[in-house]
Amino acid sequence: MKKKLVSLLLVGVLTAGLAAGCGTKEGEENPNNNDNNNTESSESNESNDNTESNDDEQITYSNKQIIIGDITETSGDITPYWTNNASDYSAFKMITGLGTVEVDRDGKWVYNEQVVKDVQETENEDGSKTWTYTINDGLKYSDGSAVTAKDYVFQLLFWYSNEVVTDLEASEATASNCQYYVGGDAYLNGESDTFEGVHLIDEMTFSVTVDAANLPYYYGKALVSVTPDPIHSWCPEDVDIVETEDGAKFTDNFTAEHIGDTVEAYRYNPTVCSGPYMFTSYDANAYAYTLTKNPNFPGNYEGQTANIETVILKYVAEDTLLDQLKTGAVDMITAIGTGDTIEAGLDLVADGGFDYITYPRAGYGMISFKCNQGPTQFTAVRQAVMYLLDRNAFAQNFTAGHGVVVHGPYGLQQWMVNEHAEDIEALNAYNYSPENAVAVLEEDGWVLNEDGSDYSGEGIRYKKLDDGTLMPLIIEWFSTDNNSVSDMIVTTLQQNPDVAAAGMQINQTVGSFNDLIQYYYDNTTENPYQMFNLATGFGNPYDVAYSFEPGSASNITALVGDEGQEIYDLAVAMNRVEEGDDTAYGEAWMAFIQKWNELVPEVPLYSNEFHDFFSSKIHDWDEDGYNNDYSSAVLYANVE
Amino acid sequence: MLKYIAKRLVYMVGVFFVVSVIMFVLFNNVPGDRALNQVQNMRGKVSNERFQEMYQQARDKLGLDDPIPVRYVKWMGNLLRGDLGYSTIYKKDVKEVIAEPLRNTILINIIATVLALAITIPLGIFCAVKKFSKFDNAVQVFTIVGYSVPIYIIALVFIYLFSVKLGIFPISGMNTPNFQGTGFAFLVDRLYYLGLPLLVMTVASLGGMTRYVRAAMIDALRMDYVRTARAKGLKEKVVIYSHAWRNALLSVITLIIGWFMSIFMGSIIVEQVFQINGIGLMYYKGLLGQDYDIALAIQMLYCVITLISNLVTDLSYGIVDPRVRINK
Repeated sequence: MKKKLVSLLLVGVLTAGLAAGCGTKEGEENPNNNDNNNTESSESNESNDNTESNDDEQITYSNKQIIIGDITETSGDITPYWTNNASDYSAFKMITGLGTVEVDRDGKWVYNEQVVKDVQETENEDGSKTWTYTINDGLKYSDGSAVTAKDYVFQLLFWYSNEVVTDLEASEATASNCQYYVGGDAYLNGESDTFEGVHLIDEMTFSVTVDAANLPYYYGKALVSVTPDPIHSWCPEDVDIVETEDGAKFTDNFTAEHIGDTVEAYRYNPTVCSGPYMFTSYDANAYAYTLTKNPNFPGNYEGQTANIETVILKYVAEDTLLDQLKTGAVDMITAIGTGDTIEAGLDLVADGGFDYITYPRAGYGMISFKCNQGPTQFTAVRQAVMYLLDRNAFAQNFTAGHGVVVHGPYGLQQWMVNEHAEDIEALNAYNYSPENAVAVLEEDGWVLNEDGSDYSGEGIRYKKLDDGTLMPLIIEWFSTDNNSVSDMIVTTLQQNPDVAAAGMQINQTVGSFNDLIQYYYDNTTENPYQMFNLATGFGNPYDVAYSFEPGSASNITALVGDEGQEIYDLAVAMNRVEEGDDTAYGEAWMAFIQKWNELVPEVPLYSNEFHDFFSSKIHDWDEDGYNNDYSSAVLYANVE
Repeated sequence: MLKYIAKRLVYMVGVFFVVSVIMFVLFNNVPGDRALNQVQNMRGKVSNERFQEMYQQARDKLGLDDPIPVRYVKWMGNLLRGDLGYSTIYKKDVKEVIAEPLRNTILINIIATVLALAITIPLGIFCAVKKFSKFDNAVQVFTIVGYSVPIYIIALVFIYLFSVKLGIFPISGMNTPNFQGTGFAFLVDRLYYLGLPLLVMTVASLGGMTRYVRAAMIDALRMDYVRTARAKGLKEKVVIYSHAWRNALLSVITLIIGWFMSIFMGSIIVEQVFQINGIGLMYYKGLLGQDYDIALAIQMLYCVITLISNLVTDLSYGIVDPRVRINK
C-alpha cells in the first residue's frame, strides 16, 4: 500500500507540478502521506507480515498465496471446451479432480484410491472390455454437495453429446476417451441418443465399455479415466440421466435450446469444483484466475491435498517475464524454453532470492512435411533436408545450450528412452552433410536438369516422375511472422548456400498462425505448401496411431502408400501391447521410432530443457514434465 | 446552423456506408477460412463425414457461402440493430467481448487526456510568454525529444526505470490480482496500476501539444489587438488569457477536440506493453486471430467517432470564434 501511495504521489506530483508548473515552484512540499491504513495488501512480496522465520533452518510455511505467471494469455473461459488456451487449461486442471484414474510421477496411469472403492474389469464376448466402478461414499464437491456415479456418467454424456459439441459449439475439446467407447461415434454424431458404452448402474456405480477395436491398449487405464461434473450446475434442474438397456441417456428435454442459457452462465463461473482448488474469480483486467483451496478435496491418487490456500494464475507477457518475477509481481514463471530468457533467469538466481528447477520438455520444435505431394513426398528429399540443416548448431543457438537434439518423436523424460538408450544412440542422427544430402537425392533420381538432361551441377535438380513429367526440387514453406525459429530456419537452411549447391530451393511464405494451421491441416494434394515449422508436445498416453491413420484427417504429415501403412501398423502395434507388458511395449515403441527416423516426416529441431524460475520462498516445487503444466506440482508446493 | 448540422449528418451517413463497404469487402477477402478455424479441433475426433458436416454448419452460420453483397446486407442489418456479431475466438457475442475493454480504454484515455491538457496548455502558454528564455529553450529541447521518441521506447524505458529499478509502479496489468478492496482502496489500487501507463501516455503526448500551443500563442501575442490591450493598461494576465489565448485557441481547438474524441480509441502499443484490457488491444487480437466480427465492429466504432469528431470540431469553431458562422 505504501508503494501504491508513493507511486500515486509521484503521478500527482508530476501532474500538479507540471500543471502548475509552467515555471513557478515545483511542488516544494511533498504531500507526504505516510499514513497508510493498508487494509489489504494481497501481494505476496517481500513485505509479508507473517510469523514465520528461517532461523536455524526452521522453515515455517505460511502457505497463504502463490502467484504463478504464465506466458499464455488467459481468456476467462476456464472450461477447455470452447476456447483452449494452455493457461486456461492449467487452471481448469486445478479445479478438476476426483478422477478414477490419474497419472503418477513416472507417467504411469493408476487407479485413484481416493475415489475408486472397487473396480471390476470384465472381458466381454465381443472382445470389448467393461470397467465397472464403484466410487467411495462421502465424496463431495467444493460446495459440499455429494458426488455420485451420475456425475461421472454426466461428464461423458454431456461433453460428447451432439447438442453440446455441435449446437453449443463446445468443440475445442471433447470428453477425452469417449471416442474409444462402444457407441461413441453414434452418440456424438446424433445417430443415437443413448451412449451404448456408458451405464449408470446405481447411485455409486457406473461402467464404461471400451470397444474391441481399441483393445488391447497398453495405456488401458487411461481410457477409463473419468472425472465428475455437476449435472445441476451445467443443466437446468429438470434435466436428468436415465439408464436404459442400450446405455445411459439424457431425458428428452436435453436440447441445446433448453440447456443453452444455463451452460453459458456456468461456463464462466464454474464454482462447483472437484479438484484440489475451487474457482473463485477471474479478473479480466489482471488476466488472472484466483483459485482457493477446496476443503472437500480428499486428495489425489497419493492422497495429497493442496498446501497453499490461494493460487493466482496470471498472464505475463514474454517481454517482461523476468522483470515481473524480479519485482515480485509474480512468484513464479514456468516452462521457460528460450535460451536468452533462461540465461537471464539464471543470472537472476545467481543474484540471490530466486531459485529454479529444470526438466525436459515432452515435445519439440520441428519442421513438418506434407508427405503426399510435392518433392517432400519422397523420403530422400526429407532426408536431404535433415542432412542440410545443422540441427546441433540450431538447437545450441536457439536454446543457448538448454536443449537437446532428438532424432525422433520422443522426449528425454520418457522411460522408454532410458530403457533403449543404446538403440536411441544408434538412430541416424543425420549429422550435417551436404554430401550425404546429394547422395540420397541422386539415389532417388533427382539427377536431371529442367530440360531432362543430366544434372549439370548447378541450379535446381529435377526428377522424372512415373507419368513422365519432371518435378523440380522446390519446396514451398509456410511460416508465421515474428517467429524467431522461422528466422533461424531462413539463415540456417533456406539461405544456406549448401542447399542451393545441392540443387534444392526452399521458398518461404509468411502468414498468420491461423493460416499456418489451415495449411498444416490440409492433407489434400492441392495444398500449395509442403513444409511448416512449429512445435508439438507428446501426450500421455503416448498414442500416435491416429496421427498416422491412412485417410484420417489427423494424419497431418499425410504419409501414404506402403510407407504410411507401415508406420501406422507400427504405431498401432505399440498401442496393442497388453497393459503392464513394459518390455514388449518398449520394443514396439523402439521399432516405431526407428521407422520414423528412417521416414523423417518431421525434422526435430530442438527439445528444450524447460526451466521454472521462482522466488526462494517457494519450496517443494517439482515438475516431472509429464503433465505439460504445473497443475499437479502446485499441490505439493509450500510457501514460506 | 441546424440545416448545416443536418447536411453534415447526411454526409456522415454516406461516408459511414462507404467506409463500411470498403472495410467489409477488405476483411472478407483476407485469405483464411474462419469456419475451418472453428471446427479444426474436431478433426480426427469425429468421422470425416461428420467433420465435413460440422464444417459446413460453421460456414452456414458465418454465411460464408453467400455472395459478398448478401453477407454485407446481413451484417449491416445486424449492426444497425446493435448486433455486432459473434467472436470466433472468444465464442461469445462481440458486444460482450468488447464492453469491458471499451470501458477501460475510455477511463484511461480520459485521465491521460485531462492530464496532458492540464500540463501542455499552461506549459505552452508560459513558454510562449517567456519565449527564448532558458526555461523555454529547455522545454523545446525536451518536447522535441519526447515528440521524436516512439511511445514504445518511452514505455520500455519507464518500465525499466520506475518498475524494475525504482520499484515504484507495477510493470503491467490494471489491478492487483484477487484484490478484495472496494471503494477508495480499489481506486487507489487501480490508479497504482495505471500510474505508469498514464505517465507514459502523458509524457508521449506532451511534446506535440506543448509546441502547438506555444506556436499558436506566439502568433497571437504578435497581434495588434494584444498590443492594444497592453496599451490600454490591462493586466498581463488578462491580456494573455482573455485576449491572446482565446484567439490562439482557434488553431488548437481541433487538436483538443480530436484528443477528447480519441478517448474511445485504444492505444494498441500502450495497451499491449502494459497488458491493459483495452479496445486497442482487442482490435489487434481480432486482426491477428482473424476474428473479423470483433475487428470490424471496432473499426466501425472508430469510423463513427472520427466522423462525429470532425463535426464537433467544425461546430466548435463557430463557438470559439464569433467571426466564424457555420450556416451553410
